[in-house]
Formats: sequence, structure tokens, C-alpha cells
Amino acid sequence: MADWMACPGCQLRHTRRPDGLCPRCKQPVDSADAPPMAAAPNPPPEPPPREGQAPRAPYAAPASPSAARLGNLAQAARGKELKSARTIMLFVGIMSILVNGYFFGAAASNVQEEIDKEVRKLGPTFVVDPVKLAQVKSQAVRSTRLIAFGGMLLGGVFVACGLLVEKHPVPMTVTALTLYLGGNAVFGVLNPASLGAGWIMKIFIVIALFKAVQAAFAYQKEMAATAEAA
Amino acid sequence: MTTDGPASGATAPSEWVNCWRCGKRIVRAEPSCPVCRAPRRRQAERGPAPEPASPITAVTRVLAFFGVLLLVLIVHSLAAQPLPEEGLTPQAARAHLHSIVAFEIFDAIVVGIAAWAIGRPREWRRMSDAPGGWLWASAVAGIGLVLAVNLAYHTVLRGYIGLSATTDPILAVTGATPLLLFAYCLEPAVIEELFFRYLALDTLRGVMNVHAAVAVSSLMFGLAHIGVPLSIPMLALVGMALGYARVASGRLALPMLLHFLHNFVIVLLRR
Repeated sequence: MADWMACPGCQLRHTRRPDGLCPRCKQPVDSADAPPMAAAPNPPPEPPPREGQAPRAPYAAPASPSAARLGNLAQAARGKELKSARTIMLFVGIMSILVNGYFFGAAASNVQEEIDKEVRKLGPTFVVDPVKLAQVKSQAVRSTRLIAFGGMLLGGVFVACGLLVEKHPVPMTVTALTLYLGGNAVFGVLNPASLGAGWIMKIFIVIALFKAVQAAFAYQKEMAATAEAA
Repeated sequence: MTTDGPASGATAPSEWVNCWRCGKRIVRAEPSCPVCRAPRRRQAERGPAPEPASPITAVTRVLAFFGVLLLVLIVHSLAAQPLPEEGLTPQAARAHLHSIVAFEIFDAIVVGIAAWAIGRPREWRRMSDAPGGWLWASAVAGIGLVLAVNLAYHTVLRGYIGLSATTDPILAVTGATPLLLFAYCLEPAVIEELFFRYLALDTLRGVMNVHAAVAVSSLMFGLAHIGVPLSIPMLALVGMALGYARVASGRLALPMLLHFLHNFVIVLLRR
């Protein structure tokens, strides 16, 4: 049966060592003010590790079965939130690629449509300089294509974040939230009408990504503790 | 010796103190904290470091304030009168400049509130062991290189779109007045660095590795320039250079100086 004790110097709870020293701070622990904790009724002593199995780190994993079950449930809940975040990132990324791909392809016709509208507004008496008009159209088409290409790149980054979120949960969720907020702001300034479009969906996505950041942090912390224990 | 490092021998509990700066447990006899290099003289004078706020709470607040800053930028962009391409009068130019200054003062207030709400991030040890003078000199040379890449990027962009080299309309009318230098160079150098390189970068370093933190904070910095969407990739690169200057030097003064120099050269070139 493992003989548990707490180091008086650094409070590390550990099993009794043959040299009588704390494994972290090397402080002698077999003194009168540091009684072994094996006599304490709670928590119950753990079964000895099986052959080939490393002893569990005493501070990393929950000691009682109910605590372990709670930990597993919490981890599962976080995993579920990360999966939702992954779905959202992939959805936003693919939609962004598709929509901006359309705008990239249809840039010339869209610009021509806008120019026709403006010319109609000026009236039939207004004479348009065709050379200047062609120059303005060319500039507008190229600018639109550049912005649409930027939007497609943004979508690609979202997809990459979605694919990597389980491997690097915190950086990917934080990047996705930053990009989502920034991307909406940029496209909102370029086209103010887009700010209000689908605002309920936008708020839902922002809240989900905020929750995903928090879940990712807790998930990463527990994964690190599990890795340390293993 | 710290609690994270390998222990070399037995040490009595009375010999342990918490570093006044980083909060790590260290041996009292050490001349300075081996983690953050805070001198021993002050180790004895101060008590244990206050418990820092949870890093995830701080990160959430950084992201929330980034959203608030974007909102302020959107409102300013929508409220600002578009500048005429030709025939800008001195009165109109001055009025526009005053509106920019007013917006920047409001921006500074938002960053001040963010600093209060997020709290002081954990202090990090500087990454580079190079002598300070050498580091600062190479950082200035580095920002010169970034500036050259910036100019090349914008030249290629203008060539693709078919635009000629432009001057700043306000700058062309008012000239490089102290108010303009404050609005274009000084205020961004101080306030943006305070938010992106101090609050955001140092907070993000608590939850991810340093390179990821630099990348995310520079992405935020680039996206905060929503008034010039085609320059965002280049500005994110400038943000990375400033982020590494902050990380390497461990001080905020270096990225502030580099940011000021960068903007000052742009002002000189766009006269």
C-alpha cells in the first residue's frame, strides 16, 4: 500500500521515498511536523500500479473514482464544444471561400452593373469619357478581385484553424475569433450594408467562438496534466 | 533555484521567498531571480507577488476589447466625411485632422480602460541575451528592411490596380505639423503598442507559445487597420517585427520607437 505524505516545504503530496527526501525540493520529510498521510481516512489508498504501468502522479489526476468520472465528463463536454467550434470554423471557412470565389469570378459583371447604375443616375445629358471609364472599370475590377482573393485566403485560414483545433486548441480558437471579428469589421467598412446582414447568426458565431476559447484553454490544461501524469 | 527547475540540494523552508516580480519561489540567497532577473535587494523588501488573474479570463478580456476597438474604428470610418480627391481646402483638411485626433483620444481612453480591466500581464524574461545596444541597433536596421518590403508591396499593389503614387491629402495641405505628427506617428506608436504588444502579446504568452502569441497579436494589429484593407497583410508583417522586438528586448520602448520611426518615414514619403 502506498504511503502518502506531504512535504512541509513545498506541500507536494507524494509517496514515501527510500531516501526520505521530497522529490521536488529535496527537503527531508520524515520529521515530526510532517506526518504520513496514509493514516488519514480520506482519500482512500490507491491500488498498487500494475506491472509495466507507471505510478500516477499524485497531483495530476483526481484520486477518487467519482472525481475521475467528473473529470472525464468535463473533458467530454469540452471536447464537444471544441467539435462545435471546429464545425463553425469549417462552415465559416468554406462559405467564405465559396462566396468570395463567386465575387472573384463575377467581379467584371458586378462592376459593370454598378457603373451602369451610376451613369443612369447622372442622366442622359451627361457625356462619359470612354477612356476614363475604361480605366476606372479596370481599377475597380482589380480592387474587387484583390479583396475577394483576400476573403478566400481568410476562408482558407478558417479551414486550417478548424482542422488543427484539436492539436492546438487555444491558438486556433483565438486566431479564429480574431479573424472572425476583424474580417467582419473590414468587410463592414467596405460595405456597410453587410454589417447588419445576418446579425443573429454573427452573434451566435461570436458567442460560440468565445465559449470555444474557454473550453480550449481548459482542454489544453487537462491534456497537459494527463501527459505529465503519463 | 526555482520550483520549476531541478533541485540541487536540501533547502530549509525559511530560505524560500516568492519573487516580487514573477511570483516564482526562489532561494533567498540567490543574487537575483533566475527566471525574471529581478534583483535580490527588492526580493527582501517586498512581500509575495499578488495572485495574477486567471490567464483565460485575461485572454477573453483582450479579445473583447479588441472587438470594442474594432467597433470604434467602424464607427469612425462610417462617420468620417470622405476626402475629396482634388481641391481639399485648408479648413477642411484641418477639420479632418481634428476629427482624427479626437477619435485617437477616444481610442486611447478605450485602451486605458482595457489596461484597467485586463490588469497587469505577467512579466516575461527577455528572449535575447544580446547586449542592449546591439539589439536596438539591429532592430532599427530590421525595421528599415520591413519598411523597404512595405514600400515594395505597395508599389506592386498600385501597379496591379493601376493607381499612380499618391500623397496623403491632409499632409499635402497642412504639411507635417506637430498635431499631424502626433496623430500619425506618436499616438499610434504609444497606444497601439500598449494594447497589441503589452496587453495582448504578454497575456497571450500565458496560454500559448511565444511565436503563436506574436502571430496572433500581429494579426490583431493588422486587422485593426480596417481603413486600409489592402495593407492589412503587410501591417500584420510589421506587427510581427514589432512583436519580436518586444519579445527580444523584454521592453516596450523598443517597439514604440520602431513604430514611431516606421510611421515617420511613411509621413516623409507621402508628403
